[in-house]
Amino acid sequence: MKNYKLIYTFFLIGFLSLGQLGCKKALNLDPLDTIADGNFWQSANDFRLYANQFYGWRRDFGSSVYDAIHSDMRSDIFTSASPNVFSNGTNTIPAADGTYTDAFKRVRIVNLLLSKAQSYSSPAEITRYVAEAKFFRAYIYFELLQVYGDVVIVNHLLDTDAPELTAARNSRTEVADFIIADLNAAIPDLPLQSAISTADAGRISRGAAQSFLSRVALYEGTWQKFRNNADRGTSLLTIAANAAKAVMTSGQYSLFKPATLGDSALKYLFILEDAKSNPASLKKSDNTEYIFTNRHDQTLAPIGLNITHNCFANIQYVTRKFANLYLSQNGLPVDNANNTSFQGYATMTSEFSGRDNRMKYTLMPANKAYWRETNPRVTWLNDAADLASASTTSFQPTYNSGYHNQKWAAERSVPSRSEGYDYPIIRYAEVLLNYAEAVYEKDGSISDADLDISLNLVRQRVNTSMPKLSNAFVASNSLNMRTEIRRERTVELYNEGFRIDDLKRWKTAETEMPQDMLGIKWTGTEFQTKWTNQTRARNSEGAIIMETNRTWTEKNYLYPLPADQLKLNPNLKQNQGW
Amino acid sequence: MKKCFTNCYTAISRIHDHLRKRRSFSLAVVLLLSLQLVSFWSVAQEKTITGVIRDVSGLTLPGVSVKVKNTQVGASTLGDGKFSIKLPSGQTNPVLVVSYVGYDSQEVTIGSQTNITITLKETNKDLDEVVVVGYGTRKKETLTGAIATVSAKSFEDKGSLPSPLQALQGQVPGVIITRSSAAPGDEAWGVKLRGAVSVNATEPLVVIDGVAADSFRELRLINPSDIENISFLKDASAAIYGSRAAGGVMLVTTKKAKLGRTTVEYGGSYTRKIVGLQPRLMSMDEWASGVIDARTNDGFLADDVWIRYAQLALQNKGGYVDLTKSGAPISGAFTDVKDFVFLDNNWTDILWGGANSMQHDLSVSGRNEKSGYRLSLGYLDDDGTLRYGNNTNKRYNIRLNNNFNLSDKVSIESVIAYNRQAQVSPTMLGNVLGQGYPQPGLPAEGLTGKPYAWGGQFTPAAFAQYGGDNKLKVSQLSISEMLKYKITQDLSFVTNLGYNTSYAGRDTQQNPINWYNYTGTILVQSNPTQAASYFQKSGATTDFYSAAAYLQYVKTIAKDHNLDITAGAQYERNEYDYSFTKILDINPSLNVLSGAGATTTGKTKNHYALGSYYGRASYNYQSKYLFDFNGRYDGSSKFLPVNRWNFFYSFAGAWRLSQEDFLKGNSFISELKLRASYGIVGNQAGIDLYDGQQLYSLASATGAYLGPGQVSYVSPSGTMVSYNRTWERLQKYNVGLDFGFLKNRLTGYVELFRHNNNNMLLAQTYSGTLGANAPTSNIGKFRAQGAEGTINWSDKIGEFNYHVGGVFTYATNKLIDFGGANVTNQGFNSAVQGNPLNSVFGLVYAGRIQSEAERQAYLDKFNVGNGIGLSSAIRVGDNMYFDNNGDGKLNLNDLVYLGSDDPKISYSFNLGADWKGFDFSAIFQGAGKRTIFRDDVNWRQPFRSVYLNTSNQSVDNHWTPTNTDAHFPKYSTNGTINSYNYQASSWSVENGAYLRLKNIIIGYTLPTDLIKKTKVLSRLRVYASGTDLWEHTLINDGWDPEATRTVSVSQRYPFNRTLTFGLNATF
Repeated sequence: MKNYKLIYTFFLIGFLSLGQLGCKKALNLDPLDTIADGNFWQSANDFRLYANQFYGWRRDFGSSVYDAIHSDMRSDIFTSASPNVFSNGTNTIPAADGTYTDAFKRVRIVNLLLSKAQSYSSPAEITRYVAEAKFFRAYIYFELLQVYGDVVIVNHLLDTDAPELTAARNSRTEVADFIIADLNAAIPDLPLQSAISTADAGRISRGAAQSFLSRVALYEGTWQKFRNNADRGTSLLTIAANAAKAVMTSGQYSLFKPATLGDSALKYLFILEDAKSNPASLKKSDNTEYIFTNRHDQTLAPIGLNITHNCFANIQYVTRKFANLYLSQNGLPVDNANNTSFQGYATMTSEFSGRDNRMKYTLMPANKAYWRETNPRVTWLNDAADLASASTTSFQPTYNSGYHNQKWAAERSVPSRSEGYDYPIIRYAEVLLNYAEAVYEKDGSISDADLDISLNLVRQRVNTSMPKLSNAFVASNSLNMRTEIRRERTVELYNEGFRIDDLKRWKTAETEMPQDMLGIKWTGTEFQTKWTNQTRARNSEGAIIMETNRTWTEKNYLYPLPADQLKLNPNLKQNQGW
Repeated sequence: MKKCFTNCYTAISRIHDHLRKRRSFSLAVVLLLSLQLVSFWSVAQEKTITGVIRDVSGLTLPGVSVKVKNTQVGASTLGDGKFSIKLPSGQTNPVLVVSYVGYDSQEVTIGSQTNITITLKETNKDLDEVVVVGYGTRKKETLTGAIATVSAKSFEDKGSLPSPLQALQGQVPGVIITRSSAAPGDEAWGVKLRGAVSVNATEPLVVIDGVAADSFRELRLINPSDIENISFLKDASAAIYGSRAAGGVMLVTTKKAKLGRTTVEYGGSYTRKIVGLQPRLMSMDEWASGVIDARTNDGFLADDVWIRYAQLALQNKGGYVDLTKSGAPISGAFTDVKDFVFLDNNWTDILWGGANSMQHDLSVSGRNEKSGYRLSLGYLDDDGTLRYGNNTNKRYNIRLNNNFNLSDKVSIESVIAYNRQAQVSPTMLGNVLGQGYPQPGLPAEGLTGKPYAWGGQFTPAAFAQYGGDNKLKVSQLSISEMLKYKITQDLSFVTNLGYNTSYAGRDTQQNPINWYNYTGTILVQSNPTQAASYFQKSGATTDFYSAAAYLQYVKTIAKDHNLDITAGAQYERNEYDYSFTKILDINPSLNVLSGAGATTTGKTKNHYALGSYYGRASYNYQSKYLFDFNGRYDGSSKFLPVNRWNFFYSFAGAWRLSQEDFLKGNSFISELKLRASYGIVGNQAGIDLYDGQQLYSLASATGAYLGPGQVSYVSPSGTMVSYNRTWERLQKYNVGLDFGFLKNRLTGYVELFRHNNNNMLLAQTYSGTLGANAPTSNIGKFRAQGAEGTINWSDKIGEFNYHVGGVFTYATNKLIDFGGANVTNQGFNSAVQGNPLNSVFGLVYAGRIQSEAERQAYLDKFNVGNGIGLSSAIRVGDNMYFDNNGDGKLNLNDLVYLGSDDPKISYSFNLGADWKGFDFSAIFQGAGKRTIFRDDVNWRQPFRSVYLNTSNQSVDNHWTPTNTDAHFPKYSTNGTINSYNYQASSWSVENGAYLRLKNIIIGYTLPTDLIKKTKVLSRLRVYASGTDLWEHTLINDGWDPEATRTVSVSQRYPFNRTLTFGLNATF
């Protein structure tokens, strides 16, 4: 009975189609080209893969060398072809602000890992990734604290009905405590630098988290101290000093100071690559100063920005104020009454003479040969072959401000945008300077012993014969210890994204930032004869005025909240003065 | 008598034995047995009737059933259409009942005849029209919903049809069909049933032979001549399709075998395409004098580069200046060019020309009581009108529709179709159509045939010619198997299994092009460069499975109470898999994935499933009072189990007044039916595939540089998980009136409808603290309403049959609640609260400045602080605008609603007649209430870019002191002035209303007598037809009134006028 077989078959199929509906699998479909929640968070490796994305949020050259929130482009160190509105105090309230919204997107991503970690069956396997998540949540919140001050604290995954969406902002004190708590929670679960395998190179270490804690606590500690909150300041500065000290005593890091490079050690530290990038053929493995980096490699992860082109005597117009910060080799400021060795400004090279060795390797003295990625070093010996390849054998600084930058400009042959030196998010020199400043601001004084284990190591790295900073030296030369500590910090961390944040926390931006931005002294100097088409006005001293009519008011210490967010949550309230 | 019965009994048992022994038997056996049966009767009977049965054309019909009324006696006709039947005794006035599939049954009184000829007429479907309504059919007279149908007739004689929709524009009430291109294979026909229902693009659900299609766009793969009919479920009667019914449902049924005898049909047509409306660019003289005019207006003097260029052009018209042999004629300018060429070319003429297309259809069908089949083959070869490069579309169709009656109780319908599309288009079509065309003068190609470039300007034609081909091949296999089992007289069980699979493979090759000067001696530029050349191979597989089963119970109780109940379940599942590989730096002669450059890949894979229970209950009393209930309970894999299932339903009722005693027999009113329906249907648009679970994507080795290289990482999707989202639920209201007057010579209907979408899915923005995009949620409100109707008159005067008719649709909508977001931009706005979708806003035009005094007064009043780009640069001859809100300022607060880009009105008129084999029909189709603000500024605004040509609509129609009422303002090349004059205003928008002669057909069917002499042919018809041959439009910028507002890339492909010659032959 063929027909009946057929009928039965169809009946069967018909009932199967009915039956399928009852079967849950028929309608419970998991995505195929994306991963569903139920199929993820199954192993420590899932947590690791997820944590990997955090590393895409780190600062890089783009966030300090180019115009960005923390860049020196927004401080009194640089000006450029067109005035920077954040630097001259004319920035306005933006309609929307990716800095604000991206930060909270990242907070959510971190909180997702933390919430999943709570239900993971073997918590011991994932402590490292939980610690990384907490570090990065602190990292994001420090950004928010620096930019906006008070912000809403989100410490768990929010739904659309969460009170945090309509809440007023948490105070910066709560935010700072939240950051410190996260870092303190992360620190014990992160490995020491020496315990990080090559497979994990670049991941966050315990030392990095401690260093970051010293940065955060110093920032907020001085912020509070200079805003009439001494007790809060002291307690935070204690945290900063202790955290820095922990790094210093860990034995994991040391300043990059190879004898083979002599006084140019710092110059080549910043452009250190595994390909020959310095006369001593040192490689990245010789550098134990970088604590937390955004790693690059010519082939695996090039910087991707036209970094040498940008930094080689080009768009960063260095100010006279910064050039004058360099001490003379006698350890005295150029305007110190006791400083007899300063050569003055008569020629294009005179002010470079007898100065802190960092000056000649960071800025570009005139009449010298320079190399760059497209006109590279050949023999690294300054010989005829090298000179034949140089970009210039007698540099003439007669343009822009007359002071020119060379930090971050490669000397080796490498395609533009493919430079591969690492970006130091945190380096040991900063930790040493954090320590010195934290101790000084905490106690109102600092011992010579504390200076010797911190600031003087930095100062003497490439200035072996310069006198140490000591209480006696300060006293005998009518110096100010605070000024010298700050000077050392500004000089050492130049072009690394610290200056404007330092001015804000010291509450000195209101005096430093409105000052005219000046270039070289032109009137009556060699510049006047060589730079004849210089048309900018000069000040009473004869220095060219790059920018004038600058302003800085109290409101500029924080960025304004974007208009759309105030509309979406009116309880946020705009920052004071905006 | 007793003996007779015994014999009879014996005979029947013998047949029965035969049936039992032989499990399958042929028609011949049946015939043999019938004859045997007849022979038994002959023992007792005397009178034998013989005869022959023919169809109207005179052909004999085999297999026709002939029975003697009120007896068991019967016979079937043989191959020659003849039958012989012995009348049982006692028949005082014997009547023969003749029946045959596809023909009207007939009762013939024999009287004293012994040899008769009976002519059977093919069933006239109109009289007893059956309408497909989803999981079943209905008699048209018992319909309660707003269901429109079109028959195969609609697709006949129209020439080659890239999509069946093309044949239906404006012709079905409530069905709004739009088009956006004439590019072969990329026509982009759009269809909306009663307009928009949501801000989330909602398309009608298309069901082909019981199996849902992935999208209505799949219709393009079907051979239109295979379509038997299409039902459009426009109101809540679509609720039987539940969550997918919001945009209405189109039920497509393909042709089955109808006639009894084997029939071979051939239809072939040749179509000539002629380029239709599109902007005509300025000629050399028009452009040059215009440039001189505009530059002079702008205050430039005779030494102006462009004035000098224009004068040089006029002097050298038709020639060229080779800068390698002579000095620069315009010193200090055009330093990057190698020559000046001044050919009086018109790019529209160069790029577009006539093209041909053809369509061939061949079908074989046959049917008897046990089985029927129809095998059809189709071939479409459609050439594009772009004269450069390869641009064609081919379609191949095979369809086999079988039906088997396995027994009185069991039947199977089987549809197997294979559709193939092969399309070729230039890869760089975007460069040909996506930009402004150079000023007149540039040659189509260099003297030696090489691509020509003038500085940074490339001749568009060469991009098509040399840029490589983009080849698409689509293979689609569709299977639908339906088994019907009659459990009892009233109860049937139906199972439908469907499977669609399609593979769309695309090979895109972009070749490098070297561009030369006119003499072909200097390489000017490479674009694309060798490094940018690429080959991309992509493939998309879509699989769709459907299994449905339902029970149907049909019963008439106590004569007057008619019940029809259907209930069933269905499971549908769709799987999609796409991937591509692209490789750079290729050798153009290789047509495979190989190249020296980088390789990129991508992939998408997803699926969804829908489980459903559905049913319909119908009851009517004497076909006078009718009630219908439709319901569907849908569960979708897209949602979380907790909110996965949703119920959709509709109620409908109708009252056939014409069946009431007080109207029965009324000579004027033949049919009058009042209908009303209400229901809730769902919308599948705007929903993601996997709700309710956090999704993560894996980025492979593209993350931070950690350890030995860039790491892979997993990141969550930026949109939050939705836990409470569900389908938009639309309330659909409908009232309708069907009428037929004067013996149904005047028929038609009118309908009023309203759609409320009170839980429209909208995105909602929360405080950034949330850290993710919130999922869309059911918070919006939308309403659409309108009216539609049709009216037809048909009659005959002697042998002259004629009909006239009209179709009208009006549909509008309003965004009632859009979450408060009601930012209004000047120009086009896709969604503004309180207005229809796709609204156009602009200033109110206040005429043209005609005097210096008027200019000064206007500037004094409005110049300071205006927000509309007004500046003191404006001149006499420029536009003025009204301060609409009267606040003394001209700014964006003065914007008014100027209309909607969606045509609110769609209509058509048709007329036709036939007389002695000649037939004629014509359809005029139009749209109204459409406001277009054209984005394409380069063609719309004369001399906006001085080096680009523009539409010649402004020639002799722009403001000059002697032509002050011209449509266009005073010429200028000043960007500020042009932007001011041509900003969105009641002047700059276009009225998209049009009326066009959509279709005209003249045909002749050769006389049957003549045809019969061929002994092969049974019918032969020849015809000529034309489409879009004439129109009336109010457009000012030269584009076709149906063109899109953006006219970007393939939308610039001009629509065609076509002439078709064809023939239909039946064998």
